[in-house]
Amino acid sequence: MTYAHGKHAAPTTFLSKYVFSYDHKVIGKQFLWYGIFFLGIGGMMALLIRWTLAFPGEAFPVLGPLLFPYTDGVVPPDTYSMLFTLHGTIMIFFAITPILIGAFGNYCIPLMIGARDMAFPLFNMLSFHIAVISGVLLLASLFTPMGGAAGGWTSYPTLSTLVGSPGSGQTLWCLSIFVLGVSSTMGAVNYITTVICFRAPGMGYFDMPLTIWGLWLTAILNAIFLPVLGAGVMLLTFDRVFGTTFFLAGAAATSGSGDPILFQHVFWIFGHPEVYILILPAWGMVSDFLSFFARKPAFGAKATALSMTTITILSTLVYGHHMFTTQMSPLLTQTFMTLTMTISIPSAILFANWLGTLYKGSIRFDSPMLFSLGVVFVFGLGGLTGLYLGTVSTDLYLHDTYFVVGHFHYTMAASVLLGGFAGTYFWFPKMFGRMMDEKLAKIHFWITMIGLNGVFMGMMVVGFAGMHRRLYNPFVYEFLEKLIPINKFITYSALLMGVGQLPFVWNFVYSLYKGKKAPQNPWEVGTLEWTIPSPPIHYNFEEIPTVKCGPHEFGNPNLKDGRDFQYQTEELV
Amino acid sequence: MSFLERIAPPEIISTNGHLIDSLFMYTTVMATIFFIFVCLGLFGFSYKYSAKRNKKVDYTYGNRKKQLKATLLIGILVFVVIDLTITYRSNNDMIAEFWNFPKADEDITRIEVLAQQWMWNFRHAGADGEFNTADDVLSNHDLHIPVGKKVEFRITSKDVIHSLFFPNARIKVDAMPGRISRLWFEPTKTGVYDIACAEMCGTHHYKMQAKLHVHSPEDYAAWKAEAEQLAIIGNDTENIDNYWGWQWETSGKEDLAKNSENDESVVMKENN
Amino acid sequence: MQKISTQDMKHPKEIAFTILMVSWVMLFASLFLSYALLRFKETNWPPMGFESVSLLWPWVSTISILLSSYFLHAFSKFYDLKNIKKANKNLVITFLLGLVFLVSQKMLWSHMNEVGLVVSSGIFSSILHGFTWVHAAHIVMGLIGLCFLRKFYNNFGDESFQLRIKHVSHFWHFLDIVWILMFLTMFLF
Repeated sequence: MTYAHGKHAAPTTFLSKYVFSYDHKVIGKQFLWYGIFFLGIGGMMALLIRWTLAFPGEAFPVLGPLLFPYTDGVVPPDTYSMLFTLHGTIMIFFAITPILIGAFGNYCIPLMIGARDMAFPLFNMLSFHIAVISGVLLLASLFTPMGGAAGGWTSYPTLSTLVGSPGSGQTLWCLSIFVLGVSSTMGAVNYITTVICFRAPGMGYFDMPLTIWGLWLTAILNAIFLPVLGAGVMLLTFDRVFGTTFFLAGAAATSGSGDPILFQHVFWIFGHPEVYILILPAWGMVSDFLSFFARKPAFGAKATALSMTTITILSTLVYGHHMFTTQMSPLLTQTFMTLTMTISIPSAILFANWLGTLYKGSIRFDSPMLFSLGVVFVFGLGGLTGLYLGTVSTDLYLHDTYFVVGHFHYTMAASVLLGGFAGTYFWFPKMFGRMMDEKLAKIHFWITMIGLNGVFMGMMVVGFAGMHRRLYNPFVYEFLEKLIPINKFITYSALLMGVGQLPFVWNFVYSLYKGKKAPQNPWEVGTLEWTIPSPPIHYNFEEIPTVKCGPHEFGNPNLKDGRDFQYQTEELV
Repeated sequence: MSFLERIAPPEIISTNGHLIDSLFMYTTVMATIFFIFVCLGLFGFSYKYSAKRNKKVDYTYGNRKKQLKATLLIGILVFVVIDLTITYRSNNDMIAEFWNFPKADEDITRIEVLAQQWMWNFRHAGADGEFNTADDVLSNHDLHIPVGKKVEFRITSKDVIHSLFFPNARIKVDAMPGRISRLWFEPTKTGVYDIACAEMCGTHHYKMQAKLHVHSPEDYAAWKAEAEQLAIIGNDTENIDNYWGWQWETSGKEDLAKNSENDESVVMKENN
Repeated sequence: MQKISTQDMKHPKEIAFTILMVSWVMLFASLFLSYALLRFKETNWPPMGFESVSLLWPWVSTISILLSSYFLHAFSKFYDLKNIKKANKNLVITFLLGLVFLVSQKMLWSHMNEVGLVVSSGIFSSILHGFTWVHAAHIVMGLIGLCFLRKFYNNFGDESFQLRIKHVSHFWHFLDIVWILMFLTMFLF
């Protein structure tokens, strides 16, 4: 908290304002559009996958004949593999990461800590441009002669080497992930430095809103573990392009005695922290919003921040539970199982604090609050179902079944998506200076909530019944035939959820142009971004503010002037 | 078919499959109890302390000694009641059953499995009890085993990673190129069941299924006698594809590596 | 960017550089981890009957990069003393030694190809080739970094230029250490 940017004039030309902008607010919005674009693509892919699972061999209505003319609109098996591979990749790396980390990280960090911009604005701009290159590479892979990557988002060798997937699609996938890794690392360096150096005077680490805590810890995990993934996909690229044999073994490897399991180690050393990379920003936001809308200080804010830190550290030590079925040594297996279980202590503390925040509050059910409560609900389900998969013996049965799919969708998709919506509804007035429509937002919430619980609960049910993942047509197995009706139910829920996003899209686009003008502080919240006009001026703060109290000052009985909150720039009464 | 029948997992046909189901049920019960508490808080507080009903809030940071203790207590309670218990139970089950592989001198059925895109190959030792000889019984898509006797599988893969999944025995293990993994169970019921590949292995992953035929001892003896006869007659000694097996004793990956260097078995042979 | 309080704190660029270094350490640590797992899986090393490679070019690389680190250190010392001539000489020598390193790596690759250790001939040559590529690519980045120091004589006493020298030389020394580790684990033992 020693540095600040000076005031600088706003750019004037179109290019310098919207394309090559150094302004963190513009870059945040760029990431938002980028993420929403890919969210749409990933969502359509999800519907195609669900359709195939519920109605195997039937043409996808309307769009099917256009997309798959050679099969009369039926999704062919090889395309199906590409669909679920790219659905996973796009949702994780190109939708959630840009929205939660790219958009909210860029937009909120400087505003919420009282800075005029990120520490390195040029770096920040490059980070977005590199992300665009990465997205182009990924989409380009779809148009290669043999189609895109089809080895699952985990891309386990040897399936992802030339043995299992010839063609340049998988190579482009590797390059795309590597380039995205570079982009995210650059972003992470920026976030961490900004939080360390550019906090407004008077703002200690525990005076930061918990959103910033979440984003900051995420950035730290990103900076540490993305290079590990980078090394993994780099070696995989070498295998594919130059003929090295790092991950080749067995009969298909004519000259190698590499090790396909090595990739799994490297992938999950990164992959498990990645789960927390995605969820930590959402946790941060939810912890803040619960306090903001319960009009009550966040219960145990310090403990929440420390729990998140503990989980960050633990997340680096438990990756082995993704690999129980590869028959690691029993000692390693036991160690990973026990370490995995310890994560539930800080998680339970988080839940206790969230509920403690609601207790004796005066809760306003505005749309960000509804979505935050939704996160608490679905993350409860997601977290508890993790227990089955961290346990070795139940994992023997459930590994690679739809139970796993349901579990990680609850944690990574449902919670993060709802958290992202909460953030969007909350900061939309600040971003665009207009309010979103509350009624449509509530309709959106309830449809999404019903839809996603139908989908993911259904997935866990069919998973327990033994249906395993990534099957083009599960019903070739006799013991899975009875699950057709449940799969239909899941697909209908998914369609409902898809349709449920229409009010959001309409609301977003309409409010962008025709929404009610937003006041400076529509939610009556005291954090720094609400002390400035909506939308903020080019360099955010006319004067760098001085922070005098925490971010969650609500309901202080000493407040006299009819307000129930106070700004962080005011002395605690 | 009622809903509960529909979502029920496949019938258990192994001596230890119920351990997994019972641990699953225990976890479900405990998780449900805790989730009910979360929901009570979530919905109860939302109802009771909504802005309409409750105007005055309790101004607290939740950092009083009592509140901290309560939070920590919840954390530890969850850890002890759920986590430690299931870790303990799971660990016991693994050591007593799933990791407790049959001894070398036990009378069991031994089967070598080679996974390939998109087929399961099974190999019985044949009359001489030695693997990788001319009288081995080879089968794909169909696995025949006797009831009431432990079966041990040694599994490897030719090309990509697969996963041998017996839904009815509740177990699976990955088939990895260059490594041999192990799996055992003891069937308790005769019949025909499904064997699945649980790890994504390419476009036709979904078609990579096999059938598990559990026979009564007499039926098994009859099947085996016939199959051995056929194997000796029909085994084409020129067909190199028939010699993918390995010595049963080479179980670990180190042995496999040594094996491949010394007498160029597993890996090299498949190349030819 | 300006300082707004008197509180003593590291410059943002230093913090950013530290984080970047952590990323690089993780990148190379993953490579070494992979190497360790692949190597301990084998009973004999080098595996599959390969001979170890001749140590001539690896020794040349090692000596050139060690010397370059020394000269780079000397450069920053003479920069602090504002001795343009000596500083310039040391910077040029550092750069040339970096080039020597790259050439020796190229010779190492040609040598390996000659003795049959081509890229695709198994895990042993995969490791030797793949890891030296990654390292050499970073040396190229380091050389580009050195180019950014060439105008040092106009920037005596400039804080941000001092940081630049510090960061480039830290990066260079880091690559030095990585090479020494690679030399020890992959070539010598």
